[in-house]
Amino acid sequence: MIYTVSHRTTYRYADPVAISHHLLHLAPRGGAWQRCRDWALEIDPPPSVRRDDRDYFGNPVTFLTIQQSHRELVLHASSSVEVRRPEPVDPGRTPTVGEIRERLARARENDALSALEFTFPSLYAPFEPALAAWAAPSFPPERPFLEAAAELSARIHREFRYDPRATTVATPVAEAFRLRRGVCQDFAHLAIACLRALGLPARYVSGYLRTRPRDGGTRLTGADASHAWLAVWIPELGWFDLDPTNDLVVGEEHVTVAWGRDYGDVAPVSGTLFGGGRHTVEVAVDVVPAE
Amino acid sequence: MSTDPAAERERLALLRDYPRGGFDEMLAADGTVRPAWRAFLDGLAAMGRAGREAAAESTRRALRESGIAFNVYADPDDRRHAWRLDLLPVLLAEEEWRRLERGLVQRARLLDRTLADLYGPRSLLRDGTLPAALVLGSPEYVRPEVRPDQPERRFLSLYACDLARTADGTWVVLGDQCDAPIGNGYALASRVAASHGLAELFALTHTRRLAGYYQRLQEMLLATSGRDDGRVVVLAGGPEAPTWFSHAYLARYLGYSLVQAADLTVRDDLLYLKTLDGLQRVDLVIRKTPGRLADPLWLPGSGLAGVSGLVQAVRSGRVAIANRLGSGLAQGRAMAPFTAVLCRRLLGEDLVIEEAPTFWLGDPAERRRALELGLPVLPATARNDPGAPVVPIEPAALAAAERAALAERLEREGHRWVAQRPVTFATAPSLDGDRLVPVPWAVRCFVALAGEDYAVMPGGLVRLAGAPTGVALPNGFGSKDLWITGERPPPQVPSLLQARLREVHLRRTGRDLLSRSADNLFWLGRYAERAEAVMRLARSVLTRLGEDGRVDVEPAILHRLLDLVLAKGPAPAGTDAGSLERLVAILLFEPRAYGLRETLDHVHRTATLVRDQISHDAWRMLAALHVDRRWRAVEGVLRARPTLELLDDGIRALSAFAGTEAENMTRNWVWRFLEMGRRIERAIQLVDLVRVLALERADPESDGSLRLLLELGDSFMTYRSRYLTTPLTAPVLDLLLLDETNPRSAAFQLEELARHCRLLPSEQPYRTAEQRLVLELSTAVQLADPLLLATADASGRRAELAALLDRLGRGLPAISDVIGRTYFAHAEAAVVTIALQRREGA
Repeated sequence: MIYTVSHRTTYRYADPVAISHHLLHLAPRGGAWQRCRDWALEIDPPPSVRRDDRDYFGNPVTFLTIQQSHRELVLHASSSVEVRRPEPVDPGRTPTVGEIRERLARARENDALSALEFTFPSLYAPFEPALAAWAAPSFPPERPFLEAAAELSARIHREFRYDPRATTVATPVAEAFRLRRGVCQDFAHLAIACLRALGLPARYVSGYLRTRPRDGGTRLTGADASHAWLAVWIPELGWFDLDPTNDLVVGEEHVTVAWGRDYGDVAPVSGTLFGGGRHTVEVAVDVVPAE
Repeated sequence: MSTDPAAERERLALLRDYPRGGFDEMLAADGTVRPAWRAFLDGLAAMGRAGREAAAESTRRALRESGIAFNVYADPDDRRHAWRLDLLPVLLAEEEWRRLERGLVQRARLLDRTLADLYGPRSLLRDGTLPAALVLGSPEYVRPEVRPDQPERRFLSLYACDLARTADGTWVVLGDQCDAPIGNGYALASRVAASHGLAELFALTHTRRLAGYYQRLQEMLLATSGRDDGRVVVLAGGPEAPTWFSHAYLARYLGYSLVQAADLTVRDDLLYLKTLDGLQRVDLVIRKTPGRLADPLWLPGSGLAGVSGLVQAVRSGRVAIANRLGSGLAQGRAMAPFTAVLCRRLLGEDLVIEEAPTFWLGDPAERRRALELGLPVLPATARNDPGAPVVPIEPAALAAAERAALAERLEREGHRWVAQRPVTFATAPSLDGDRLVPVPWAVRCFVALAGEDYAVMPGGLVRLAGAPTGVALPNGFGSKDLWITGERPPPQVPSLLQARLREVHLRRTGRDLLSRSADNLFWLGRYAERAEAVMRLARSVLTRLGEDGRVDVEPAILHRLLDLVLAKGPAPAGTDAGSLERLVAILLFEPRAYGLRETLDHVHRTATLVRDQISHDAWRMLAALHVDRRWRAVEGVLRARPTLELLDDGIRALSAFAGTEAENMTRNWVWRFLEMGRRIERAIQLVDLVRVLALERADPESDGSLRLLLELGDSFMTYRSRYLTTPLTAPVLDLLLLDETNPRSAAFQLEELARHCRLLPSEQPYRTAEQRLVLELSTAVQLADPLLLATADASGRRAELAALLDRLGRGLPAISDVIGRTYFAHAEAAVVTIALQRREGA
């Protein structure tokens, strides 16, 4: 599947911003099942400094400095992305939870090292004893890992309610757990914190999900949102994506932008401003199939 | 050996009952005095008790004047924050030191190579030399620094190592300070004080000096900056941090600006310092802040401790940073369990100095063993600095349930923890009255990259222990200096610095005045002047109290003056504030806004913040004022005579400070802002006095008001010498308000202000807002007619004087505000808005 993606972010500030630095994760990364055919970023006002680079996790990252006074900042990323997912594996035939732990304890070669990295607590997915206790029944050592992880994803989908008003970007994962509510970002962090609390590797994936028009009506332009889910690591096979928000097998409807330990590593836009006062953000995302 | 029988008796008395146990630095196992200590001990004996007490006193005074403390704002008598330096240093013979030096250099190299690998090709993880969880699970692993294609980068420019001699005489390593080694400033201040107190013994023992090391350090830093005229800054947290004194002292010693994150900004991939003169490019940052919190953009969680864009600027190669971000990975005890293997693997050598036995708790077998042994547990990368100690968890002290919780936690995150077998420390002598007693000790040593290899500071920061054993550099039981003694006098250090200075361009201005410092200097000027005004007022009131007091003014006038000052702060407790004595006591000793106690605290606080900008003498005068405990006397009963003496001393100290400011400071911006604050405050105080003592009085010439006005305005003698009469209204007003030749007059203050304002940096060719305001006031003063000012109408009102005072009373604070807005505003911190947008997908 080939998609045309448009992601427009508009910041409006109450007071002029004299200078601002930004770090952007807005360019879809390439991978075994995804190819970014082209990508463009429009920035208004134009930056004085722009550096396109790759971060530690291999994600494309853009650093900007805007040195002219402004009250509004528009970042418009557009891309064409091709997604070809492989045939799904049988979760029941993946290595067991115990085997995964064993494997990581001896990690030396690059792919195991990079999986080990995702077993430790991080800023947005800290260790929470309550989460460990809640998740543990799904992960007996002899159970196939992917089967267990899929069950965790299904449990989150079943027991939690999607509610954008219940949480904010600053809500700790323990609070979302207590409320049993949140959005995709909270659910991804919850699942990640659960897995890591049990010593298992999980990473945060940021991207887009193609949404279907409701009730067969026409698709609303800009109505789509950016999305987040997680991925777990299976030796030899690599990383498998899970979407607890929708309890979907991640297939060709998910477009990956970046991955990291948690949201903090891959926030679409972060920034430091001098001045600015209060601000509002407006985000419009379109993910349109080109085929 | 001394032949004088009295000195010999003294020497024996010093050694009397000296307990023998483990290794002692002074006494060998057979009871003889070790060679390095012989001359020292003889000298110490020859000083006699009186000499030693004098030396101790002189050391204490030198320390107090340096302002050394863990909390520079704290009451200097507060023992929790005090820096305690033992009079006697620890002496080490040069040949023993040479072996330690070799070990320290080896260790710096080893850790530097280890870091370069872990942030480069990571071969140590792939070949299993280091467990991956130790590195990848470390909170100190700064991922943006990872560059697999750059294997040769330097990480450690500065390094410190905590060493202990154990009771059996062998040396062991207690900890590595890699992220931002701290303590040079404490070591330097301690050396200055100790060598001051024991100057003769210092020379007699041929102790090696520290200056050569710091000259090489400066050379290295300059080379690292990449420009032979490079700008170097020391980046530290705020003065509330317990280690701040050390940074401030070091920065001043090396001549660099001490800055905070908010003083720096990144533009165009370059790092700049916000100064009064605009943005100034920075070439090298000596980082004393945590590397993992250095940049809120690239390192989430940094908050205001970081500089936005710093990672990008360093990556672009146009600013250097010492130490490189991420060096904290080898901080503390993190590498200790592996150094023996690392040393063979990376350097092909054995460790010169052994490791205090340490267990990495990420390894299940090691963890089990450590828990069975009940060894103290500590975070692997813990910092452990003077005043900010690491506190190990002692499993033995835990209840069974807590011990189980610890074991469970270590099961999960053991990779971030180590356990360590306690070390029994060797002892060194300390003076207890007339005799010596052994005290357990350990030491922090300092190492710096000098050219291609490392150099070691020939000395160290000795920390005394409160118990015979410990796991880390001890804290809380005082310090000693470390003397490396030679057989012969140390060679004169060739002055590399001098050689370099010859090539340097001559400058007439100091380089950078931070916007933040300008702000503090301005307020230091204002507070110093305000303190002096309050002291003068209190003194004038007190001399008129009591049996033998001078009776030349109605008490109601004094009341009114005190009320005026007190009214600026909160209302005194109780509706009736009471007698004049009570009011003076409130003014002097109660902690309240505009009261003397708080004003002096402000003087000390602002002076502390600009300590690197004012002269040593100026600092000493203000520090002496701060350490004088009489100012913190319990309020209540006010005893006139001692208080008057105290006020005389205080006024003298502040005048002396003003004197060094006038005589010894170059006329740069530091001086200018201090002066402007002083001039504005003096004029404001004067306007208040004239209002009460001339405008409000029906007959100021005969009720003593004018005389008091001249006294408080410090112009009585001038008046006397001119007029030889009792004070009359017109000449008094002329002298105090209009006469530009009187340095206490309003006209003089305005003229000075106008001169300073003209010279402030400005981008516009026409007059600035503050220049216009000053011009307006000084014109009003110049045009005023003293006879008209003195003239009262039929109802006794002096309308002209009232109008002038109102104008000054409004205009002077306005000038202060405009200066604040114009010059100090970009000292504002950035607004950090990380994570502006969240994922809302359903």
